[in-house]
Amino acid sequence: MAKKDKKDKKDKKPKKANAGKLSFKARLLMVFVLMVGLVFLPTSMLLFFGMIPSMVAFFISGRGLGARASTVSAMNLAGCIPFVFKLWSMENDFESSFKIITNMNYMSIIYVSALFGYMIDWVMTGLMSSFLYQKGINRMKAIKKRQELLIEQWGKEVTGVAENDIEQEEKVDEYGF
Amino acid sequence: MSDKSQKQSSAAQQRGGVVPFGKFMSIDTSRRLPQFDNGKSLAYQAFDNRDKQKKFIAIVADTGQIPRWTACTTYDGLANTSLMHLVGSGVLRWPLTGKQHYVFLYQGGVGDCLVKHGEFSKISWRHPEIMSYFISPMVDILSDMSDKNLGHGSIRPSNIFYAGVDKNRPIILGDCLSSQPHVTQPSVFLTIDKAMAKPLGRGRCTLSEDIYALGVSLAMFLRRNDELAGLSDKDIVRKKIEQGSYLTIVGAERFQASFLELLRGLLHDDVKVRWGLDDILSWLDGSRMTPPALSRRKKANRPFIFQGHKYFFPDTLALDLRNNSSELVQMIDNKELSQWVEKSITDKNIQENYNKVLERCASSGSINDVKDYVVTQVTMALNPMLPIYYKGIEFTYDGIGGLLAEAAYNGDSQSLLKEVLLQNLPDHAVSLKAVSQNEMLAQIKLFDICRATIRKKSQGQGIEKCTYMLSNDSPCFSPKFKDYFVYNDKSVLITFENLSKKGKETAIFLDTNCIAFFTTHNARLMERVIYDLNSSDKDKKIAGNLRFMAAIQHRTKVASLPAIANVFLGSLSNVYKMYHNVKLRKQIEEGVKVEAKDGNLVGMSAFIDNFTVKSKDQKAFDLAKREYALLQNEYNEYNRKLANKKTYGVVNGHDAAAVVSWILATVITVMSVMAFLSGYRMF
Repeated sequence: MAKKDKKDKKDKKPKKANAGKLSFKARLLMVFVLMVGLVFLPTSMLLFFGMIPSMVAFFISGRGLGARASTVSAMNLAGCIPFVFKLWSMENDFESSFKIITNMNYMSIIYVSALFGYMIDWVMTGLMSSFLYQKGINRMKAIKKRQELLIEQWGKEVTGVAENDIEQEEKVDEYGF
Repeated sequence: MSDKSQKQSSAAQQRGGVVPFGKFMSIDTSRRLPQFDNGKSLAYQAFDNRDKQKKFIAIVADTGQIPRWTACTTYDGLANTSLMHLVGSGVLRWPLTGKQHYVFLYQGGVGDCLVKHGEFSKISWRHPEIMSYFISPMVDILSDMSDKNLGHGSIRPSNIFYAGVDKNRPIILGDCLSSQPHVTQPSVFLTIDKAMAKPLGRGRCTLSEDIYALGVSLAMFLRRNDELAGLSDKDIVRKKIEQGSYLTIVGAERFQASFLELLRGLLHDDVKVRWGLDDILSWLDGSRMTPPALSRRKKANRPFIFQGHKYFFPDTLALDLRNNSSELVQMIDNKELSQWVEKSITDKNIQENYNKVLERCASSGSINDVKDYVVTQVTMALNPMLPIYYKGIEFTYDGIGGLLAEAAYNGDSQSLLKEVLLQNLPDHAVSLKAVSQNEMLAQIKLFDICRATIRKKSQGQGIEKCTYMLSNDSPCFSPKFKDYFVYNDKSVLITFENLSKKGKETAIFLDTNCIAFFTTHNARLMERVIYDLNSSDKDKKIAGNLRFMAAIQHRTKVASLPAIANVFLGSLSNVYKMYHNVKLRKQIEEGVKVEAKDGNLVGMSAFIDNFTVKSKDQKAFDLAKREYALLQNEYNEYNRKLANKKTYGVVNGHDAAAVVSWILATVITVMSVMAFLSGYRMF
């Protein structure tokens, strides 16, 4: 047992060390994105400023809330896409990109779309939570009903409690003692 | 006896002492026939209800004498007209004692006894008449009984009868079934070892012992003087040891020379030399026989002084050793006795036996601690003819069963006899006797089994089982059956039915004595229930009792036992719980109630002990139990998760939102691409 514990500790140590570091694949992807970003620099600049809400969402979302950031990012990206096409239909240079970025209306549209993502997350979470909670309650009721039926068919022994214990349980006073 | 017969019995007593026995017979309690008594077993006049001229002799056996009910079938199979003809036998509640007794019913019309005890013969038969009316029929009887391996054990002139009013006919030999062999015999008719033993400790009866009793009976019949007048039983035994049986019985009596020849053959103390049936038949045929020489005791070279008396013979010394065990131990310790045995006694067998005894005593520890054991062993070594003497009781190696039965019947302690068995005393005694190798091995094997049984502590084992193993004729000595004679399957059912009617029974009918009795007499049946009967669970015991009773009811075909059924019915509430399914349990309960009304134990047991149903029920119960446990785990899991309503399902909600959001984003992107490609400018 002691040896196994030591082994487990050895396995865990490198994991802790790598926790803040990116994997090789992730690093490779990051390098690729940077290179693509450098190649399409105006588009990258537009996306950088347009996707600020998504970045904020990723940073502020805690552990297990990656789904929320994903929701926001999806809607945020959907808001950016028409302006990326607009940039591409213009000169597709820094100036055009800057014009779009500095246009309050355009940026408002992009950020409102991100906000819409937040709204989707809020609504869907509420709906799903209520639905699943009710489903759980119903399942618990069904379990109790089935258990009562089993007791009715097989007696209290089916609960797996010894007969003496059952008798003692039945003899409790008004305070439950 | 059925319950109906018992009711008739009590009614008959009120009518004037006539008790019905079986379907057609009645016994008149007011008409005693004392000449046919056998010890404490008393004889009464009986008659056929259909023809009252037909008279019978009913011998009401004293249970304390352990009647030989197991020998009835064998006795009935003897086709000898000189034996009292057994018409019937069975158990009867005897109104004069208020207890059940085993009764033997013999054909009537038997005359007076040949010679009353202590009297002289009044008939003057001559030599040929004695031969044809007395000796020849007796030899025929012994021959027939020997063929069936049955000993009589009650041959004496007072139990030999004329065949009716006409005295010039062959004799009829009286009852031998109403008591164990030798129990009712006066000691003069017994060989030395049997005469010294307690009545019920005299063991089985061999042909040789019956021949000896015939010899004494013939001498008593022929005698004109009482050679033994004024002698006590102890004196007679001592005289037999010192002079031999022949000289003791015949003495100075003047008999015809031919009879003397016969008597010398019949009364020889050495079993190997004593005449057998072939010798007697040859003598009857008129062949000139050489009578066996009288046994000569080997005198020691010098006397041994014990308690101030001089002893020249080891056999008489053996008789008196018990009087002072301390002195004996001292004499063994200072090797005084050893020197006398080695140097003064010429009998090598005695020397050999004595040396073996010393080895045994040494292995048992300090001689001073086992004085009684030493006395027993040394007595047996010095005179193998004597019975086992241990702490004041005397018995033969095969008589220990009778003593165990006697103690059980009287409610006395059996611990002393248990001690005897555990110390291998009967084994040592049998090895010193002149018995065949087969007989010796069979006896030792039986004693080994007994010792193993004594050490077992489960119900139906122990000294109780030994009692029934060593005394085959013993009825069940359970304290419940104090006034009953329970000896077979049917009688146990009827007795329990009666006791249940009186409200004296609980559902655990079988106590350790009953279990021991039936383990011995009906081992196969008991094997099926012994596990439950030994269980510490009361309900399993009740179920075992019911199964046993039902099996007996099935076997004996007793139609209805409502009282027993009611006792069971009142105690089965927990037994039904062997079945788990509530509905099935109720069905079984109802079924058992219906069967109980009819007194059908077989039906009750069939409902409770249905193996197939029980097995299916158990399997289904196991599945249900597992299902319940799984459901409980699931319930607990939900309970834990739903405890915080705010967080429950949130993760799933986020996931769903992401999916919806990505679908929507994809739609918007596709629309934007299509607009871009079609040249439509949104902004």
